[in-house]
Amino acid sequence: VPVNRASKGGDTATDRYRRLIEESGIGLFQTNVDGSIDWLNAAAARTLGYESPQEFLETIRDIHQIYVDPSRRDDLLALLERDGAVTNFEYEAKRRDGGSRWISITARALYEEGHLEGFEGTFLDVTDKKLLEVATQSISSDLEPAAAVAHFAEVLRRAVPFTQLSLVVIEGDRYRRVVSLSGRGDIDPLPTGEWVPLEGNSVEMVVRSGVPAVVDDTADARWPFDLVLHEAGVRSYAIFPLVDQEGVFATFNLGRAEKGGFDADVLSLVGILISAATQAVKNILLFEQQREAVTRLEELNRMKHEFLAGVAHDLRNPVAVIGGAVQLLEDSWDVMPDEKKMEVVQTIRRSVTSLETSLQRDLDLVLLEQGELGYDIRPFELPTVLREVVDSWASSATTRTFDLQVDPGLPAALGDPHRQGQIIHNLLSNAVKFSPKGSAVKIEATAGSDEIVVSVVNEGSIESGDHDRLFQRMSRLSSNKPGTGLGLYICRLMVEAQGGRIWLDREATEGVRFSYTVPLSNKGGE
Amino acid sequence: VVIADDAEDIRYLLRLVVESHEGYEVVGEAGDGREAVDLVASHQPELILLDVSMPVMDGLEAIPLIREASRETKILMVSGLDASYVEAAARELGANGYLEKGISPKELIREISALCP
Repeated sequence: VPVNRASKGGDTATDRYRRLIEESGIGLFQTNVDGSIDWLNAAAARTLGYESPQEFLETIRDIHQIYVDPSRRDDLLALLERDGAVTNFEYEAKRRDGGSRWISITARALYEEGHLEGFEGTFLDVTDKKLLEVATQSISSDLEPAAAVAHFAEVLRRAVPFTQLSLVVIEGDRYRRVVSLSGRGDIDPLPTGEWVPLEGNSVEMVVRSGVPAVVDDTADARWPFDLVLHEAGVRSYAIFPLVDQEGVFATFNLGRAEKGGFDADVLSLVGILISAATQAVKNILLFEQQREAVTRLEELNRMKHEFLAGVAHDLRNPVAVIGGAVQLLEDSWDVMPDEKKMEVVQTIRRSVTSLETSLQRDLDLVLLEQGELGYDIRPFELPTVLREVVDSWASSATTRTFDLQVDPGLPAALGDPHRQGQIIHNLLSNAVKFSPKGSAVKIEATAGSDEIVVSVVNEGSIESGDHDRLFQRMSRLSSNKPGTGLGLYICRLMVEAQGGRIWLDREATEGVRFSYTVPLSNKGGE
Repeated sequence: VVIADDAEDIRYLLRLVVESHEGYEVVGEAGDGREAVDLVASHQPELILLDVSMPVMDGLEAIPLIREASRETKILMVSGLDASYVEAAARELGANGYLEKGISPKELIREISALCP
């Protein structure tokens, strides 16, 4: 910069003018048509990430180097050639750290012997304004969260290169990463979908305070998760809150490869972008919630249909038997011997009982799944309940033996005796159905430290592929075995509602062993 | 007659109906398709009443094997599934008749008499 020497006793007007310009942050420059750079001031150098004009000039020999799209330089020269000056000509310039800034140039042409020689002018950083436009457009362009964030990330990446970007949703005292993007091909995005407690997590800090937080070096392991981030190529990161009337509803978490990657400049730029995206993100998340609700409703509807089909399936045989038997009695009343009639009547009675059992079970299932099945929880003698149910099985399934073994001195249990009876009834029904004819069924009750373990053992076998699905709600229609799919599922719901666990013992060698627990009335001898 | 159905009460009822009719005798009961094929092979009955939905091997799978085990045995499907494609499939596979389970004893006897006069 050609400068007049300061005269003794004070600054010259030029000095004051120059200082004013420096402090205002306005960049000044002069370049030539061939791309060479005559000079620039410190503000211009700083905008592009250099500490001083000297450092800039040592690195950048040709001004074309800073243009993301070098043809914009030709556009600029053409305008100057035509008009002699330009106002607010915008282009994207490369920064030293690999990011970019939108620059607005106002300049006037310099001539040498009538030819355009170069130009001089001001150099303004308009990135905030420019990025805001693009970022708001990009995130509003799609209602699918992953796609919208990907568009937003493309814009963000140009200004602030990052290794990881996540959109995190807050709900009560937990959070869930819904979208994660890696900024580098060789690094995977972070896992999404799982709910994580806020407690003890850097996100918690931001949710409580409502202001961004920065971790300058994940190697310090200030939060347990920082080491995972370190592995994922994140050396420093910042968490930006998205706030509505009710507080922080989501955060954008931005990770960079270098430590201390969030100076005031970067923080302010990203902060502005993210607050501009707030409403769009809110819309996207609401839309997503609705979509999830619709999916849940469709699933419920499907289950309802399946349930009704299952009910119809279960009623079909008993109804056919009752109808057929009644008609047979009518048709052959006069010729049928009395003892035969009694047999037919007993068959009808069995079918009626089976109908009642099915209906009761289906009604229970509806209540169970809605969490409306009542439990009368109180201390009770489990062996009495077991004995009663086992005796009723022994008298109806006369070809089978039921061997009940109860630890002497079993302490009182805590639960609903009637529901406990249904659990053991279902397990016995299951054992009888899926074991060889005539084989024995063993029932054991033993005391643990704060629970009673009940096991039902039969001599059948279970294909190992079925293990994981045993306690799930299954379609009865998909199987041609009678009544499969609901008994064990109902057992699990009932056992769990009374504070117990139920499982299949995979180590069992004597056959198939199902076990469940019933809490003790006096836990741990209190 | 052989009766194949996984529900014991259905088998009992079918047996009562069959035996209430002069000249018909039930020679065996099967609880699944595999047992049904074995019984047909060993007894060579004139007729089998065959359920569609059974464990181990269902009625449709059993039809060709029953045909193989005994060319003469008539196959009457007694199905809990009132789906026309099941009936079509059963007939395609070689079943001689098809009845739904909500059947009356009279109709069953009429059907049986028609197949095995």
